[in-house]
Amino acid sequence: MTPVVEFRNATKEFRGNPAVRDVNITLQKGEVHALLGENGAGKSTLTKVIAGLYSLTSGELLLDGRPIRFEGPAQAMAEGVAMVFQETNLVPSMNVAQNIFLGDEGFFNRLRGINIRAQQHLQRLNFHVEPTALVSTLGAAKKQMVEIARAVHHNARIFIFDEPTATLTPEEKEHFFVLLDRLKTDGASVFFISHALEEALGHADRISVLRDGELIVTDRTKNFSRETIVQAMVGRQLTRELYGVGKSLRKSRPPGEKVLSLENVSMGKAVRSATLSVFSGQVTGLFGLVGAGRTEMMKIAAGVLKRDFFHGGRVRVRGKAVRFRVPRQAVNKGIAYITEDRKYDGLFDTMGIAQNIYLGKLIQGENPVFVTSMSEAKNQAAEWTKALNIRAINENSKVVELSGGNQQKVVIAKSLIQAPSIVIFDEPTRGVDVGAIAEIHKIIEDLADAGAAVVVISSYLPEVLNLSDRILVARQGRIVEELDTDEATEEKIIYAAVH
Amino acid sequence: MSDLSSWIVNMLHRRDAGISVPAMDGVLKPNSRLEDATCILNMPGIDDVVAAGSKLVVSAGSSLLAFPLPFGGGDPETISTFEGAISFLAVLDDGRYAVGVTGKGVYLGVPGSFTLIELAPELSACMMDATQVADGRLAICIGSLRNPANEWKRDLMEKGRSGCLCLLDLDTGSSDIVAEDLAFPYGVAARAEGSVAVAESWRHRIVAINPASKKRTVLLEDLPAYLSRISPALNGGYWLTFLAPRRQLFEFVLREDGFRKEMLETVDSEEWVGPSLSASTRYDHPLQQGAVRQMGILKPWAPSSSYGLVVRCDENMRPVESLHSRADGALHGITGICETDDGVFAVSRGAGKLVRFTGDSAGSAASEVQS
Repeated sequence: MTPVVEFRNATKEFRGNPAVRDVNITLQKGEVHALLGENGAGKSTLTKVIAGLYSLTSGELLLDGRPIRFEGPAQAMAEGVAMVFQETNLVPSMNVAQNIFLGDEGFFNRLRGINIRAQQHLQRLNFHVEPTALVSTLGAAKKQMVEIARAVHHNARIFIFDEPTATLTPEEKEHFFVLLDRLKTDGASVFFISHALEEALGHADRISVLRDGELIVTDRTKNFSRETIVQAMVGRQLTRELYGVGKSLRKSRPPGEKVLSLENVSMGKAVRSATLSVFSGQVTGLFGLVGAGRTEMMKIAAGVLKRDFFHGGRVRVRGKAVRFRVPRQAVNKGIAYITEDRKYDGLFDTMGIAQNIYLGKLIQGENPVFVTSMSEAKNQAAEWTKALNIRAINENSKVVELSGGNQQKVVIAKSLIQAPSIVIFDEPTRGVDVGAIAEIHKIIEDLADAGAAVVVISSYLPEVLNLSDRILVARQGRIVEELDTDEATEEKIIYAAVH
Repeated sequence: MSDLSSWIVNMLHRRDAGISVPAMDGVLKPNSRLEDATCILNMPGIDDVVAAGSKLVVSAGSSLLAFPLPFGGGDPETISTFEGAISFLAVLDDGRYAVGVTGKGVYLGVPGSFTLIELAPELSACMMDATQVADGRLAICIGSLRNPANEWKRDLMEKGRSGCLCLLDLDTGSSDIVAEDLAFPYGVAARAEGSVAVAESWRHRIVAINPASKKRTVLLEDLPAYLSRISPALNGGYWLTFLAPRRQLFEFVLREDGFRKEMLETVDSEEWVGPSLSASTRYDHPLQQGAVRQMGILKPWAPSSSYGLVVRCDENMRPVESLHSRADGALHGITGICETDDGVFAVSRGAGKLVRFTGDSAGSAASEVQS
């Protein structure tokens, strides 16, 4: 049977550096094909060639057996290729319906008609999103839904999902996989990129693993296990390093000084009389379901959000009550908040690595800096690039050209350059491959060992359990449980988060 | 004008006494370890405990009682009785006892042979604790110069700041006030470098006061309960005891000057909204409860006015472990503690009990004695 998509000796180079090298891979009709690999392995590059965003440097792309070279995404779309990107590419100032129909507008468009059609389309997909809602007002999970709905709307026969489930809640993930099965039954072919290996093992027909731009292995899913995939991805056994074994061998760090405390802090309905303390020399894990208010609590502590003006409680940093008006004040008190949404809040993606990292330094101090030394910026950026092992094509690379894991490391470097004493990581490993996860975990552990107070907000329980010295559970805007790591289990945490 | 500025400050919620209390989490995470400790003596009025050589000495009312050490259980023996209520108990370096008696002064000596050093009435009315400092003098905490010791709740409600630290020369009987304007200094302990650690109860903090230079340094602050006494731990740290918890309701009452003034003038002290040493058993008083969860919803308010809390700190006064008797427990109002080789003995004045648990001086969690 002729494959729907076939790469023959595909190579894609950026400024002479190969991102994909000599790859041979096929996608059959009605198949879900998982592409796995560390960030920077070449998965996104490969799929972007199919979507018409890049063209191959050498080798061939065949669609239904015929060689093709797309001139742009519009041509790929016309051929039935739809790509759902790793980080949503919606127009935030337009509403959901407008985004779904973007690129498919008629000469005359009736807004009401578009809204009704969008509503019907979303209902068919069982996505609970208001079609008239502005995209900028949606959370990450809902934006992802709109992105998927847009791809389905274009009646594509080849779907490329790049990390589609990274921001979805468990229920939304279930919906997504039902949708995936429906697409498959309808005869669509799917390239599916995910860092959640269980999703690939559970839903893909075939799995291909890429490493450093080369195809390492392609086989039917039943011939893989989690260990063999990870081994193929990173070239060594890593899963046991990441989760499970480390915890039992590691002794919890004793608490140091109480450096940050929230006392009865309230902010609208998102945070309701939240009370917690953070100690130096420890990793404090903060778990909660989506909407539990954990991110908001920490954003209040970091001056990103403001607590209620009246009866909003109190925030203390090293015993002193503070009320930050802007994040800069928190930075000057040694608080660094590393955002969960790196694309929107964390980076200037068209700027270089050095510029982004040095921005963290510029925000410090009481007075704004009018003149910056680019040589100092480059030196400091080089230092941090080396320390955090940020891999880029060259030192002048723009952040947008980096893989998700390396972008995340740039965001971390941007905060760590401030030498903070309180570091808040919000979903530090979301959309990051297993190799980079291990490196980010190491950064977190090293910070706590060096005496910093570290807060890790994570939706991934094994991560919370493995990293934390104490675990706080948030629900309905307040902290409802505190567990020591030796007594904490997934069941206890989930019970506290739900009941 | 001041009323207007006070109203604005209140409205903007910028005042220091905001309606919030520190979290009991981390090291102070609630447990039942104090409640599970072994009760070795039931005696209403029990207040303080010290180890004196081969004896564990307890004060209750006007009597001194002693258990032999090593502790073997049984009933204590009454070793001395005084003419007034005993306000503190301390052991000097030479083995003599220093016993504070309300309205009198300090009795020095050994059982059967005490001599009185009289103190001025305003000082002797509210002596709370004492310890011997490096130069041999006795550092005495005077909780308040305005209210006697048994009126501690009134002093809190009046936002008393009239406490002081007094140094008593044991040879000449002369006294010297080295620190004034303290907010009910309840406990005192000598520190290695020559200063004394003073528990300023109403300011929820511990300050180091150097008797020579009179310099004050805050060692620990922002505590979630009102401190009582401090006692040295065997490993070089300290044991802290706490009289009663801080609650948002109490903080609110302390902020509302008009309400509080009227309450003090017109309401019986038993009915005041404020901390207490033990839960009331009166049918017309609200039940003391912790957080109540019904139908999965945490009910917003069910405060307890009493609580049992003991905290062990390291030598830098950083908390390392805590023992609790929560709202559903009875060992509330802890006012005395003493660590010996036989374990840690703590006095619950609220329950009128002396309890014993073994502390791990090496620093890990203490394990309670199973009777």
